[in-house]
Amino acid sequence: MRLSFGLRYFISLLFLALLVVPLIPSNIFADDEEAGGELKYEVNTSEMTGFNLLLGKLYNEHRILYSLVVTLTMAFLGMLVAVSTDYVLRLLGIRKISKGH
Amino acid sequence: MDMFNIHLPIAGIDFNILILITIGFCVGTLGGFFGVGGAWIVTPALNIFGFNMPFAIGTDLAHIFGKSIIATKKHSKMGNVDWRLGLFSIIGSIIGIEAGKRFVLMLEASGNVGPVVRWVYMIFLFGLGIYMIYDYVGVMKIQKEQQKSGDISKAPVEAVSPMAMKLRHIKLPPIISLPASGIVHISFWVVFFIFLITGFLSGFMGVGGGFILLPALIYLVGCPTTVAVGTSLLSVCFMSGYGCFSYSMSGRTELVAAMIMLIGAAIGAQIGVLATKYIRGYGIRLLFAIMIILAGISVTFKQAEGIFKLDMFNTMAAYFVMGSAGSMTLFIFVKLLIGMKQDKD
Repeated sequence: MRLSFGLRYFISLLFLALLVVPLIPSNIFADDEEAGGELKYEVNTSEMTGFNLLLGKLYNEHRILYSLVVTLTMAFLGMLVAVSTDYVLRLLGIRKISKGH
Repeated sequence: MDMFNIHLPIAGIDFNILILITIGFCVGTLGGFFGVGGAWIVTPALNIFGFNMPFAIGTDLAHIFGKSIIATKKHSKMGNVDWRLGLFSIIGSIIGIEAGKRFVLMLEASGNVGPVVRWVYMIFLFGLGIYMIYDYVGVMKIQKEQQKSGDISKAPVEAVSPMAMKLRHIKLPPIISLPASGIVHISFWVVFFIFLITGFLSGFMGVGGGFILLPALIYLVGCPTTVAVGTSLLSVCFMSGYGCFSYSMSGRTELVAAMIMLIGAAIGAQIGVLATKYIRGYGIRLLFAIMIILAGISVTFKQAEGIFKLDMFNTMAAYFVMGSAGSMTLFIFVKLLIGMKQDKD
């Protein structure tokens, strides 16, 4: 089977990328590697009130709940914006633009 | 400008609300248009404006999660999402990402990981960008020849790449069909293996993977460009959702900042998605190629900082990526306005 130019190009690219692996030593990425680890930090809630206090307490004391709140809030807001902008666009009569082609 | 400052309770800093909205807007536009997450723009941008770095990546992922839901919904309405392919991409990518991460850990043990990842990243950004421009130039040449010979067509019709055609000839069962992408039959293992590789590269390079997934969907699976954009966004949606939860568990997300960025991203995503109606197929590919080459130049600056130990290169990298993202956002916006005006006329 004769490989097309594109496929040969991609395979060469992959090999080139792999060849680099043993060639360049050192470890200047240290900061980036640490970026994903657990953060040793506590929010100072002493002067907080309302929503901020709730968020700060969740962050300090219930990390799983905080993670769920962050993830679900972003998902909910994303869906809310998606649905509401569609509604607004329909009201403005721009629906045609958002329909298929 | 202090009047626009807002207190971010988790990060414990005051930050300008307009900067957050603007960053969100740029990334939203590019994400909706190219089907990428855009973490490579947000993190250096937040860094420049003094956002707490420990929170930058997690906050970025949280806002990308919300934004990609908006853009995926919009693309889905335009018929640009292949849900079946998206599901396969998620399965293959998760396994690939995990394998890529483990490979990085293996390299880490030998002390090679940092620059290696960056070199591979650069090779891929420049390599893919140059290939996509080469492909674009080839198509334009054919179109010019057709116009000369009297077979005039206004825009080039997207053809399935020769690579994708070759891969479709592999008849390893089970054979699946992907009607939304216009693919009648393709081996499940071909699709799975492609996503495994792209996932591996994402995990290895520590990136969301949209910039690898989009060309893979176009050139290896053979999707039309707009379907590739929509389907890539679906995958970004799942990956960033997982990333958002996992970074929150590590205490690295700032919810208030992510919510504010989402306001800008929500508007940007609408613009980016709508623009795919006016800048189609090969146009998207060309702009994507330019964008990833610009990103590659920014990574080169970062690499230079590591080699020459000059912090100036780091700043240059961040400003360069921000400038490129801003210019591209402006270009997409102008193109959308021109397209809408022509539609009305």
